[in-house]
Amino acid sequence: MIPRKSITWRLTLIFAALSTTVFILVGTLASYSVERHFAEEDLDEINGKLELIQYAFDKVVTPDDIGNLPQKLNDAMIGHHALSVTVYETSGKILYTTRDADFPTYILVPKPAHYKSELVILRKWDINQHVYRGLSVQMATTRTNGAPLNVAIALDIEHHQKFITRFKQSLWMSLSTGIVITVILGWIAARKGLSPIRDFDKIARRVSASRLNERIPVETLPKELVDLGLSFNDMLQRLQDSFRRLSDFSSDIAHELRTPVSNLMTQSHVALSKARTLEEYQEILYSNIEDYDRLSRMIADMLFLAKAENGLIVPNRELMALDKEVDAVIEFYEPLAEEKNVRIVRTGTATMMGDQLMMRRALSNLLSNAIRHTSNGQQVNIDIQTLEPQHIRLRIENPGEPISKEHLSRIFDRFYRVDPSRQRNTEGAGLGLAITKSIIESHGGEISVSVNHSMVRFDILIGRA
Amino acid sequence: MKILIVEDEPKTGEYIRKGLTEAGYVTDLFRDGLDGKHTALTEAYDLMVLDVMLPNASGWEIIAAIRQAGKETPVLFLTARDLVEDRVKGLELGADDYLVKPFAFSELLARVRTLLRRGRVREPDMLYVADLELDILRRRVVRAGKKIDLTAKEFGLLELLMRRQGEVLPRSLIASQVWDMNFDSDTNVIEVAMRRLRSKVDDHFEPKLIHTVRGMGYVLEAPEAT
Repeated sequence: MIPRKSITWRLTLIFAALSTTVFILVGTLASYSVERHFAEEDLDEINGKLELIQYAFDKVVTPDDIGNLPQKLNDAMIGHHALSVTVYETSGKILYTTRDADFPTYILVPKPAHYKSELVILRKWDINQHVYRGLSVQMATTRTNGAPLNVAIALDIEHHQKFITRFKQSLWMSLSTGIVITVILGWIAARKGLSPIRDFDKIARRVSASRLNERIPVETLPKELVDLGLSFNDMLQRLQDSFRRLSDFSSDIAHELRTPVSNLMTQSHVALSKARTLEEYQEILYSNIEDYDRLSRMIADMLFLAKAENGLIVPNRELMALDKEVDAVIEFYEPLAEEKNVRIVRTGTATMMGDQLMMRRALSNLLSNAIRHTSNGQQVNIDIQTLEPQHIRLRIENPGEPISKEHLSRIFDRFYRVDPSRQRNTEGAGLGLAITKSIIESHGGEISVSVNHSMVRFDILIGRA
Repeated sequence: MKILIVEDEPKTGEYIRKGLTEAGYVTDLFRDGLDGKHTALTEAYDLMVLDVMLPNASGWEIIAAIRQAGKETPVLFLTARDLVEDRVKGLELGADDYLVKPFAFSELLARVRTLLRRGRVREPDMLYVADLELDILRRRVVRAGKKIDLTAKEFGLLELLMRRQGEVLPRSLIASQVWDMNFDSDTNVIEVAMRRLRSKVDDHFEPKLIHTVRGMGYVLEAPEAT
């Protein structure tokens, strides 16, 4: 199993890596500049001594003067214990050397005079547990043969070195402490910064099927979490709605199934309670068939709705003339409309991509509904309009008794009947408009209902493709 | 006419067998998919009614096996699951029709008759039942020598009833065949249409030819000679 990555630890690690990098950079830079500072100081001192030596060289003209040179140099070096100097000819012959002067051979290769004040030729080495810094250069003389003399010069920098070591030790000590402290602070900061997420979690934990009314208080959330909080709340709202619909639906089903099932049961029990004639038995079976039929339709319709709700109703889209479909449905209802002396008038044309069977079913439910609520001698109007290039509006209007706002908003609900006392037999199970709505929605359209001047008007807005 | 039924639900299987036998067909019923498959492959049937979900071998397997064996016997599927994929699968495997449970027996019978009739003798141009005549080409209806005026849909309705005289036609089948409404729609419409057709064809004549079979549908038939 891959260990779960905690954001707190991830942030702490990033923080630690960053602070370590910064501290190491600072430390390296600090020790480098301290070293350089000391090197420059040492070079200054060495150059000072070289000037004294040069002064002594300037006095040398004759070979006798060479003989006097060590004495002069000794005088010049008085009081400079930490200094080692060796003067030697290009041939290697040593003319003068201070006590204990001991140079590694690679130092004794002299550099030309003009390098003498350059930091680059300064070398550091250690001999006999002493650290030295020094260089060797050629120096001009006033000798008759004009040959230069070589000078190797070194400073015992043991005391510098001790200081630098101590400095570095305390520098790295404090830097590591700094790293540890920033890591701890980083961890605290990350935990603190993430605390709204833990609060979030606490609320999310409280949510359960029976407690879907919990909401994240978005006002108190930091800016970064507001969107998350809003979508979480939206999700809860949707869950709550579907749960409510589901439980409404379940109780509706129970209620709707109860009537036919209880009819069937009572009837069968009563029928069997004594011997009856053949006609009576037949009558009972016929009546049972009617109830079974109703039950079976209701089950089929509810399955359709359940599938629609789960996105399982996928329209098989093909090009169709909407007006032709409307006309076909009108033709189907013609006998019923004539019987009721209701006229149906269709205006407008449009083509669209849609599922012919499903659209016919939707139109059929709407038209059936309109005819049922239109009184004798009046007219149902169906109008098709292409609104924008890509949208179609189909409007079905019928004169009818005004429906109150409260009823209108629920008219597409399952099992909803505007008039509860209306006979179930003639009106079906009250699923027709719900089915119509789900068909229109599966086509990406929408349906709405409005009432004005005692005209009930259903508007379908649907895309052409 | 011999029909094979493979259905594992005991009551459903028994009632389908009973109903089809009483409608004049010879039937064999199996509850197990493997038995059904074996019989389907070894014996000759005019039609097979198969459930999809069966023990040991599904309806899909049976149809795949018989089609592979080169048998073109029409197959009607019964299923409790109504998924588009199922329909598509059934059709791809060579099923001829598809019925979702619960269904009315009259619906099953009507479809069985349609499948058995398919590809057989050419339909006649003139239909006769008792003293009622229907001329399909001229679109004329005459009863007892009197011409009857019908609308186009009324004509279609009468033609359907006469073509399938003696069969009880469920309302859903009528809506589908005459108006091309292939879904459960307001059945009031069929009742009204039927009433209007009767007022023209039956009201002023004896004997009555169009009968309502309560809870099941309509049938057109001449009274049996006594």
